[in-house]
Parts: sequence; C-alpha cells; structure tokens
Amino acid sequence: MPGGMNFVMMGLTVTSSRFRTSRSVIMTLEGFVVFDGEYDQQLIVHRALPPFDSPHFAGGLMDDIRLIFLEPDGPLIGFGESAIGSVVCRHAAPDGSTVDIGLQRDGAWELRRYSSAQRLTRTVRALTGARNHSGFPETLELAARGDQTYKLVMTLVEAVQIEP
Amino acid sequence: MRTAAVLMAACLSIGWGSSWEELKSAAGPIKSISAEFVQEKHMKILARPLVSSGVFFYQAPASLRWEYRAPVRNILLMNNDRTERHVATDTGLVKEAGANLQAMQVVLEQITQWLDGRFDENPMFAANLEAGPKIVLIPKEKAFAKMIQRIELLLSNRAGIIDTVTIYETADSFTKLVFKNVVINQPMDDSVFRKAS
Repeated sequence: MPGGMNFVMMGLTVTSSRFRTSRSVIMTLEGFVVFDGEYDQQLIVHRALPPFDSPHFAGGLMDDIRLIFLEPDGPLIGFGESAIGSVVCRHAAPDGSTVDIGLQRDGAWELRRYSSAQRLTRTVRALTGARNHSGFPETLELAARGDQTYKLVMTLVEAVQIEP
Repeated sequence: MRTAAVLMAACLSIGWGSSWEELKSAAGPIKSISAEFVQEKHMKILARPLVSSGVFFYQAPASLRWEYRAPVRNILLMNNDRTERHVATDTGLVKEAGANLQAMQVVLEQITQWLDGRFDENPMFAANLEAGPKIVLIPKEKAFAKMIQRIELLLSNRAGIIDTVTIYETADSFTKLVFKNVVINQPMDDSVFRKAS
C-alpha cells in the first residue's frame, strides 16, 4: 500500500459471470465489515468505513474485482503463443485499454492490462495450488501500477458455487 | 438426598445475579479465564456462515490474548495498555501496525470490562439487563449505531462466564461468538500476553 502500509483482511466476493455483477465485502479478521460494495450496471456502496470510505477506493476495488473474476469487456482481437509457451488472448476494451490473458501449461494464468497509451496498469497472477476449489485459483496477486501503486495478495479460504 | 439436590440446583441458578451490582460482585472472584471459541459471521450474501475458531486468555485486571487459529491464524495481545496484532504469513507470524489496531484496542478494552462485570460502564453504550440473563448494549451515538446496531451478551449460569456474544452490524449482518471449555482462575504465565508464538 502507499506509505508502506501492509495489512491482512478477510474478503468475500459473490460474482455472476452470466449477469456480470459482483458484490464484495472486506472485513477485519474479527469479522467486522469495513467495506461492502456492489456492481450491477452501476456502483453501489452499502457500507464504507475509514480508511475504505473514499469513492475512488470503491470504484478502484470493484474495477479490480471485475478485472480478476469476469471475462474482459470488449472483443477478442488476437491470440498467439508467448516465448515461454503460454497461450495469450488479447481483448480490446471499449475505453481503449487492452487486456492480455496468458494461460500456462500448469493451469496458472496471468492477466496484463494496458492503458490506451500502452502503459501497463495492472497485472494479475493466478496460481492453482494443490487443492481443488471449484476451479478457483488458490492464490491471486494483483499489482496496480501507475499513479497509485499497491499490491493485493489473495489466498483462497473457500469457494462455493451458488445456484442462480 | 432430595434436599441436597434442591440446594445444588438453587446454587446453580444464582449464577451472575440480576442487577448490575450483583454482576460486578459475581465477576469479582474471577482472576483469569481461558476458553475456546467458535465465531460465525452471518451475512445475507453468504451461502453459509463464515466460521472461525480460536482460543482466548484473560487475566485481571486487563491482560488479554485473543487468538484465531482458523481459517487465518491471527493473534491479538493486550498487556499493560500495549496492543499488538500478529498475523500468520508464509514467512511466519508478522507483527502488524495499522489504523484498525486502534479500533481493536477499543474492542479489547470493552471485552476486559465485560469480563470484570462492568457491563454498564462504557459511555458509548446504553446497557439493558434482560431475562436470560442477557445484556443488550445499544450505541448512544447515531454515528456509532451506523457501524454497530447492538451487542447481545448471553450470560452463563456459571457466575463470571459469558456463553455467547452476538454483534449486530445491520439486521442481516451479525457475528456470533460461542465460548466453550471455559476454565477459570488457573495460573497463567505472563508470556501468554506478551509473546505471539
């Protein structure tokens, strides 16, 4: 985090790839909810306590959640193979950014988002791990670059498939 | 034999008592407590509650160790007005510093007040003693009530012991703590409250 702050929180995300909606909750390890936000066509903040109460934080977090868990906006404009043997797909988003998703042979994947000026703004790395969690990766690492630099490391506690 | 059984039942039913003064008196002989706990986080969007578990240790007047063992090991220590949090990472237990630690210090101080029987002394809450016996704490400030609607403490029939604590953040989001295997007044090494390992 900016200023070298580093802390551990518990996160909960419910997402629908079909409806492209998501709801995310951040709570302390003691279970106290400090942020509860939802994206369903628009951003709705149900609860936000300091230091998670700025509109910029809510928008950024929900954008990161969509980047990690949902298929990129915009059409597939190319695909190929990287030097290390990953299959890479490139999507062009309506805002001019591009998203590359590379799938490795061991099941791990990496996502890279570039701004319209071709600057790398986000990377996401997903590691599958030994346990099977309904196809969810065991570890996810998001790194934000540019004006606001931070790193989000998520270790999966539990993944449950919910019937619609 | 019948007389002995009736007397025993009467003693058990006395428990904490039925007034604030009786509660303070009941907690008076408690010098230390250790217990296991199970915490359930209930939210409308959760398919089932998020369950955490751990142990806690208390020593009068104000030393506390609140340790989660699953799903994420996390230890809160309070000793001589010093509060620390240690979180398990890939590299072992790491001491954490941050704004939310100040909030936790307030919470831990509140818990030590409860364990001391001083349920009605926090100026932030209006305390009501109800049948059960149950204590309901309602925030006095509207701004605070937006964060916590109310706290319910269900007292054990053993004096000085709390069975469950339920913290309502909203009508459909609450955290329930259930205590078990409670041991009172056993000697404890001071290092329990100073060292995270």
